[in-house]
Amino acid sequence: MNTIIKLFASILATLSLVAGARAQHSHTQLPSRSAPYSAHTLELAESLPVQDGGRVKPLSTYASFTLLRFNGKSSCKTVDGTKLDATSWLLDVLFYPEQAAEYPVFKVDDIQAIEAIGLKLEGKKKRDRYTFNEIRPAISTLFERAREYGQKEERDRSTVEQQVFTLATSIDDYIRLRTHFDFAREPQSIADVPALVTVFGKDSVSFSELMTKLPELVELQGAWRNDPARGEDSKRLVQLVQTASEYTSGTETLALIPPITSVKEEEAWHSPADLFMAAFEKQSTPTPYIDMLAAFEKLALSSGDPLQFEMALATVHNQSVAKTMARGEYEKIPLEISYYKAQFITNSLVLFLIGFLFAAGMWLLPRVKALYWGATLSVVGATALVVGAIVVRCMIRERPPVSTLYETLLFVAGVGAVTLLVIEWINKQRMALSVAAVLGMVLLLLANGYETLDKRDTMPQLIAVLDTNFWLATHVTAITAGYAAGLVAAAIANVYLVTRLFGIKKNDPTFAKLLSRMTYGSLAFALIFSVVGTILGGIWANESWGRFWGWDPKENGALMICLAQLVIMHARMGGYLREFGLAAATAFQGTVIAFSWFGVNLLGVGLHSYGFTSGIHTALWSYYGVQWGLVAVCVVHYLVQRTREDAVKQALATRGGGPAIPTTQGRAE
Amino acid sequence: MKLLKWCYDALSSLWLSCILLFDLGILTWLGTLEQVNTGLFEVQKKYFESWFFIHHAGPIAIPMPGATLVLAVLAVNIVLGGLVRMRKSKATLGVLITHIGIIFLIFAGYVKMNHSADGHVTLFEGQASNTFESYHHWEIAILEQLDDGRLRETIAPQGDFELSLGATPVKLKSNDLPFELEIAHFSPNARVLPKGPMITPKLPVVDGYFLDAIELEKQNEQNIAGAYATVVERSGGARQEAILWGASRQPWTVTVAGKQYGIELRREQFLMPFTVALDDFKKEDHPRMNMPKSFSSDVTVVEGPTKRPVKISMNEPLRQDGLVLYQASWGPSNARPGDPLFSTLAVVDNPADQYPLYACIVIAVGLVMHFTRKLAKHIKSQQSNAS
Amino acid sequence: MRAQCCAALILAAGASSIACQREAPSERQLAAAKEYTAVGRKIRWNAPSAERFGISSSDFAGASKGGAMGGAMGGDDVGENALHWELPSGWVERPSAQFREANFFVAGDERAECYLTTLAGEAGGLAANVNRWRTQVSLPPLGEAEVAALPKLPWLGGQAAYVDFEGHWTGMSGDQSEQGWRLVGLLLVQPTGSRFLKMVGPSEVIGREVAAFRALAASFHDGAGHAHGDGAPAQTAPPLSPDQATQGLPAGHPPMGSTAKGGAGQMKSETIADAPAVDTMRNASLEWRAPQGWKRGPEKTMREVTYLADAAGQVECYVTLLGGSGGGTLANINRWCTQMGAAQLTDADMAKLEQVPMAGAAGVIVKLERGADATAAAGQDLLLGAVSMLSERALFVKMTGPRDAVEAQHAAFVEFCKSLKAAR
Repeated sequence: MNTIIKLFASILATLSLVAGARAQHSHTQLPSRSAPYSAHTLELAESLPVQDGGRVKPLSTYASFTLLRFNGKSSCKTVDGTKLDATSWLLDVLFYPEQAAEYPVFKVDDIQAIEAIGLKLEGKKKRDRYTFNEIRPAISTLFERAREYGQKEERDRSTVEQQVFTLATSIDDYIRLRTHFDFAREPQSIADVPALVTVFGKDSVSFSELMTKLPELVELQGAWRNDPARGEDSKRLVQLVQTASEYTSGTETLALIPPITSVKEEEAWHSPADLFMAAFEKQSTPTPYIDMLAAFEKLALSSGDPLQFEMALATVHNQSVAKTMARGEYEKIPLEISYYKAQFITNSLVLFLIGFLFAAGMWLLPRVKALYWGATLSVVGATALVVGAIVVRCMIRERPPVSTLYETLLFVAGVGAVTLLVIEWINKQRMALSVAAVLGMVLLLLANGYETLDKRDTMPQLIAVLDTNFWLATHVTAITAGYAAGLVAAAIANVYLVTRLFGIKKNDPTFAKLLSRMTYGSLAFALIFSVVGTILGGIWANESWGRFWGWDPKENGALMICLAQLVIMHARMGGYLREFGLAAATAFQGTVIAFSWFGVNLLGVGLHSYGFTSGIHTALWSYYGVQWGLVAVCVVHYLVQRTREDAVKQALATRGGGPAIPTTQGRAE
Repeated sequence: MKLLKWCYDALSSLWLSCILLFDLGILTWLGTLEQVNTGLFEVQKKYFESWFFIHHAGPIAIPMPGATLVLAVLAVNIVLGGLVRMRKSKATLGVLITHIGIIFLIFAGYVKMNHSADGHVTLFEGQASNTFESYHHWEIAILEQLDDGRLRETIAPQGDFELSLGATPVKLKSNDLPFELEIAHFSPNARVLPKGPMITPKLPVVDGYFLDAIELEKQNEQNIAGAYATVVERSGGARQEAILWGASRQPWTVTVAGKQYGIELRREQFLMPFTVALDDFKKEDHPRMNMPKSFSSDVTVVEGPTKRPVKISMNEPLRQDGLVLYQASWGPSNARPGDPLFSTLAVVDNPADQYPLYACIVIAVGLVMHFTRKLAKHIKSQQSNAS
Repeated sequence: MRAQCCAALILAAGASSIACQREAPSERQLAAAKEYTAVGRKIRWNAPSAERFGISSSDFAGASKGGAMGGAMGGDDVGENALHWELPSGWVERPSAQFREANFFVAGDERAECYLTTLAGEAGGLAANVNRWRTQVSLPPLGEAEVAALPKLPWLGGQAAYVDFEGHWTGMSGDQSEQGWRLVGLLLVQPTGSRFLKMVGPSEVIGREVAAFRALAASFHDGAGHAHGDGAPAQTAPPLSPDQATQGLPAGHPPMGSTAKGGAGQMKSETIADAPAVDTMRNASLEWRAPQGWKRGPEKTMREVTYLADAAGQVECYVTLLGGSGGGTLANINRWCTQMGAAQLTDADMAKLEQVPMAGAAGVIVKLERGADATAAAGQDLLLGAVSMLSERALFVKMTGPRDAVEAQHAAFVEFCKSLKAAR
């Protein structure tokens, strides 16, 4: 038996009928979609569970991150410019592949990458989007180039080479999606082989029907292959199975079929290709899988008729959800859909922006109370949304708030805004409120930018050593809170520097003093979390690897934050830094945090270089540049000012005149 | 007396604290950037485990104090300035507690640096061992087989012979041995080559082989030491020579006064008070992904007559008799399904193992006390301002 | 205060630098010995240097598979049938590699290699292997009769053919170009398994080492019946002594094939040297070089690589690698026959097929015209196929397309097949 299976497998591999043409396959006779999907259809599609990236998630999440990867955003436009959400787009790619091939969804940042694969397209901008049909003629060149560039390390590739490589990856994935349901679309005719008609009881056979009989077919082939009278039948039989195999190849990317067993017995979901290959070895496919395949066939074949399509989708949905629920993997799916639907982060960003506008107005027209209240409400609302987002994410993944670089951004935004609101509540000087609006806005913009750069699910599975809720909850949370408070301090310090540089509120020494106290307070808050977080990190490392401290870049970064904050604290205590010095040093300390947070990951060494960071380089260096520049200018300005004041003081003293004029710098307490 | 007072003032000053902390920050920063080019072990030795070093910033060479020096002075500075000299009052209580925590943390570091051993035990499924070996340090062992099957080992730690870089030997002596062992031409990374007709070795040829010193690897674990050894009999002074090499599979056997001795250069070995046998190593990936979800080793710990099965996995080490065994790595990395796998368990013997945790708690308490007090004061003043 | 601090730092520095002064001591007293049971440790007393350093005995070559831990993984798990040999003086043993059971640098010269390969069955036969080697040194193939006339030496219990060729070395995949190289080898081709010992390198190096090569060959013997642990594996009488080994050729006999110098070998070398350099491509399991003008086709599952061989993209050529024998060479070729509607081949037909070296084994090439009963897709008028049975795997290369277009690619197809090898 075994040899027959082997033989069959080898036949499948050696006799390639449809050949490479399938990648280029045109689904010419397919119907096209004329009306948008109904709300119910979309709802069913969105909540269809799929296993991707090691976890079960709603199809909508899969769709939006896939589209984000291709298109740079999680929506796209159709030929006539109508906006399409990610799930509709994915449905089109799967069920109306020829129509979807006309949507411009492949974003290329530099047209040179398109020219490099030999395409000449009129009317395209330097950065533009391309349809699959536009790329199609150059696919083989694209893959050839990508293979060539893929041999180089990512850091050695030029920008254009990297773009070609990325485009090839996208196109490759896209082809797998558009051909995914080929198996379901095309029943094979066996009318010319009476023996097969007898087996199946009909003269055309679908993939699911073939799967039910696959063990029999393997046996039949064993019997027929040495029978001269059966030569033709044998050939047709091989062809039948071969074609089915061709149709399923490449379907591995989308695992829509939940196993019928428990998670403990079988964690990995199935694709049609897996089932097909398993059928060779296990010889029989459990009926629920056959039913599921049949449901997919019905779905694929009803794509022209919206009503039929919805009903078929409902069948698929019911079967899949029932099994997923039985496995206990469905619980969080509705929550995840609502999370993305609610658009916490985008809404929060908008509210922070409104808050910022109110705050700006508030400083221009200090008498108008309404502006203050507007700012307060918006910032509080925005903060609540960020906190809400963090909480919901914790619930979906059953994890502490921070487990990825993306989540550090959300968490720093949340903790930073809350800290500033508390400060505002204590001193009610409007300053902290305004800083909260700016800080929240910047951090959430960064979070969005990071998500777009990273192009991957922001709730991924973690590698073995990180997968521990206890340490994620303690060390990671503490250290990230330390980042947040340290950045809050840096932000307030910058306000101090700027107001001083431009002589704003020159005659109000209490204002400067207040800013200085706020800086000091946040720094103290930051110090607690940084020191405790850093030591906890060491303790975790000791628990995981047996060493408390290994001078790993990320560890060093954390230590540098602690040291920077300690130096400032002690220098302030010793009176070596006063109001201005404190502000300048704290502002600088912000760049130390940035170095530890993102900078060390760019070094590419050590245990902690997780996360996609190459696009962050520019943002990071801009921050360093601006911050260091500002501090330098302020220091020069301060020194010049002080020399001048000293001169005046000297002059007054030599004249033996009145009391010494106090310098602008208030003495430390 | 005046000088003493002067020293005391200097060492306990706040200014010195700031300088030291700042300097430590700079060291950390330089040591981090250096890791892009140099291996961690070298960086650690140069920047963090040294008293002094020269930092090369482009063409400029800057002599700098190493982290050991800075931390030592800092410890003195905290004790004198942050405890002894500091005003003791309710207001400074939090700071005092924090300083005690920091001193304790530095003390933990000192204990770890001087009184701990770490290494690994690497086992294929089915193998067992009661020793673990260092990742970095070498030793020369002189072995005797005892009649009861046990081994008798006389050990020369790396410090005894690592400076015998040239032809002038270091003599290793023991009253229990009928010979002296001379070690010469020690090389921290070397390979053994057979002498061929076309090769002119720099070092002596012994039994058709010679030692070829090669450049150090970036990863220190990959370096393999080598040396030339000569056994000189105490009575009669007869000499026997051989090459010792870190990757040798068997010791060099010498017979002196009718008795066999094995001599080997090996990574420093530590005896465990128990035997650990690897029964099964498991590696699981996330479904449909190439990302490891968990690693674990099922081991049996045999101590005297007692046997107990233990599962060692990521983040869940085995603690036994003062030793901690961690799941560190596995291999071979190119193994196919069904191939035998080995598991590497990192072993640490560190008396200060839990000190950082205690220090962390003390520091956290101190800091929270101090800053809560300050915050409360601030809020109070704010309120009195408002009213 | 600041001055005080600086002074304090300098003081501390001075003190520490004094403490740090180290110099080589001349004597050290060792601490008392410890006695313990070393679990899992087996010491082999009186192990010779070769065994200690693992540079000459296959016993311990296997242990290097343990990886980075080196000495930590003392290997006692040596198969009973492992080969033993004695390393000629000055040679350097290299880790065994795929298809290289024993692997050496001749006389420590990294250009000159010597290695032993064991393959299942006849590995394509004697002639194919001899001529594969001849191709590598740019010599024309020998006829059946000439192959049969090669000197024979008793080796490893059989009669091995002894070859000594000199010519222009093009490497195993034709990617090298070295004038004046010499290849000396022993080929033992038997249905029960074949062994090849090959030494190749610059003539001046090889010339000096021929005797060493024969001595090495003579020292090879199976471990069966040989007791481990006596510390002297080479003392067991080898089946072939160095004296016997030289019987095949009289001393001073010029290497066979050297007469072709300046003849065909030379000409071929020029054409190869003129050929534009093509980069070696590889994936996880294979390495190959694509002929000029071939374009990479789309990736497909169950295919190692796909090429479009002509400008129009109608000629497709792809490589498949399967576990197991896939039913054997004939069965697979007959699948293709079925597909193309051609008559089934018999064993006799098989024997007439063109042979090429493919990934270290002999491959056969078939050319099939489309017949009336073809099931292949339209446009597949001609099929060129190559099948090669590797150890435990079967390698297939298939090219289809319009008749003339495929015909035009015949030479390129053969080159492509030859360039395939198992990835390291």
